[in-house]
Amino acid sequence: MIFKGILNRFRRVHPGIRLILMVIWLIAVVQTKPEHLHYLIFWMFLQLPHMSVEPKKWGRQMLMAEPFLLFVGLSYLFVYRAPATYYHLTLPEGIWAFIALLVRGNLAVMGITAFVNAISMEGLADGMRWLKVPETFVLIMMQTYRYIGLMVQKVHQMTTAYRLRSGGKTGVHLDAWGSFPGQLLLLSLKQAEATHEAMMLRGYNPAASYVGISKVQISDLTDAIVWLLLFAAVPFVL
Amino acid sequence: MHISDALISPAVGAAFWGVSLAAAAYAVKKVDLQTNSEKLPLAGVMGAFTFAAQMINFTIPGTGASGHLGGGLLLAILLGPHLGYLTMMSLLLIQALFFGDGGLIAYGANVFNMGILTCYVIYPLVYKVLKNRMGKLAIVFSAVAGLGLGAFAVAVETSLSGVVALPFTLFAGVMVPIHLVIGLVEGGITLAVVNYLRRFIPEKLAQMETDAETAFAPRKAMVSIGGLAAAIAGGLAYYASANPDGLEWSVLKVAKTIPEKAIHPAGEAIQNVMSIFSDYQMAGMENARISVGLAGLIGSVLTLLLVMLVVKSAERLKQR
Repeated sequence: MIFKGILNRFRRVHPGIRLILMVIWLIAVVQTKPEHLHYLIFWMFLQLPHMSVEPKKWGRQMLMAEPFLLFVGLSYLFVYRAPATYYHLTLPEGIWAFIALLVRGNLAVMGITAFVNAISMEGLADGMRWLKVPETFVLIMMQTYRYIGLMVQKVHQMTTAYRLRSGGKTGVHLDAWGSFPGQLLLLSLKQAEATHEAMMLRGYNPAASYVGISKVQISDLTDAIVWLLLFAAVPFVL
Repeated sequence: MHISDALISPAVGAAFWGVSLAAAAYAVKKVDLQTNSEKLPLAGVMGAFTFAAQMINFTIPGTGASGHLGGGLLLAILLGPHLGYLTMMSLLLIQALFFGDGGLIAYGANVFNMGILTCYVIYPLVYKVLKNRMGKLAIVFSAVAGLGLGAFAVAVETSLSGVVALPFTLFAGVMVPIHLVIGLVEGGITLAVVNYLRRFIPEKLAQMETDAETAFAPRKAMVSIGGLAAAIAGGLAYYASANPDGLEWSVLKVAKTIPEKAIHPAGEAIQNVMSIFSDYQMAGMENARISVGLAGLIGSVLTLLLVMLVVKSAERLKQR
């Protein structure tokens, strides 16, 4: 019960403060050397209060980072061959460097996921406005995010229509690969313009600020300071 | 193409954040949403489209590698460089925060590779210059150049961060050719999309392209980028490290010495006569740092003149 209370408290921290904490987490994680990998285990526990994501989603997001990490990391195995001893275990330096890179890379992704997934898109916009990010940029970002959903919907409609007309064939035929994205773009654009015109008729003004900026409460600051103190204490205690 | 956080040092990441934010401040100043509000849905849709295109990885035959579209050129062509750049920035942020693609420390570098290089370098200096001479092929050529340049920048950024074990030339030698092939596919798809829109919404597309082109003239781009190059060569070179560069360092590590004599004496003799700024120094100048700065500045101007000469010569050859 107490643990659940702590979780909920941390998830309510102001989005702007969460973004700052996230940057501190990332800088600390990516600079961790192989001999300090054990810090990361304790830092991971400090991530728990921020988490609200199911492990499956993490797995999917971490997969995106793997190819480039593996491409760079595998070269360590061939280049750094001198033996190195960490945690009473002697292995070629390249293996240690490879392990450290993989752990750092995946934890960086995990950190972003943990910090951001508890924030809604509106909350993120709020946090960005609090951090003085220009309104124009925040508006474009929100539009892009919203139209990703619209586009997914249109792709679904178009593939269904295509399947119904294709006489039992699966997938989009090679002949339609050019017209399919073009038509998708036109349909999405048409709907987006219609929505935008309707919004303008209702008095929407893109230049006027409509993204609210919520105030930072004292509890946000105290929660952030407690988290930072625990985070900074790890290297000193271990 | 997306660099993750573990592949870049905070110092290099911060430097590229600085460059990207400066470009963003300029773009925000140039984009007037009050008078161009109808572009907002277009920016959203194009951003979503590019986002989707970047998610689809395709196999590059014979290499064992895969690639995805950058999309910066398409955004610049349809939205103009400023709005295109801001859209690219926003979609890269969404990818980094919600989809784990790229990173936050590496965000500035990713924006530089896929946004600044395509919208502010390739679009005004390659696409717009070639458009009237090569027609539709300009899109393909520009896409190849954009992705190649981006891949080279990835190699530079990760090498500067000290995370790549391979020598820079080898790493860049792997990165760039693969991305040139991906650039060909990107060019083909960008061309197909632009052609499709040209066929079905010709007036609207013509208006969009005209708006985009007047947003950032090649001459202005050349002056801006030239100014930046001069500032780097003449100003930042002042603070350049005196340590050997990556290649020299690698040679030193392997051979324990850098050969004094050239393999080809004739080549060395020609180089001795030709190199007026040997080791980036001005002859007869005592202050080494000012000497490096001045040599860098002159070198930048000479490079610019040489590029202009090549372009002019190519134009004349084509007229014949």
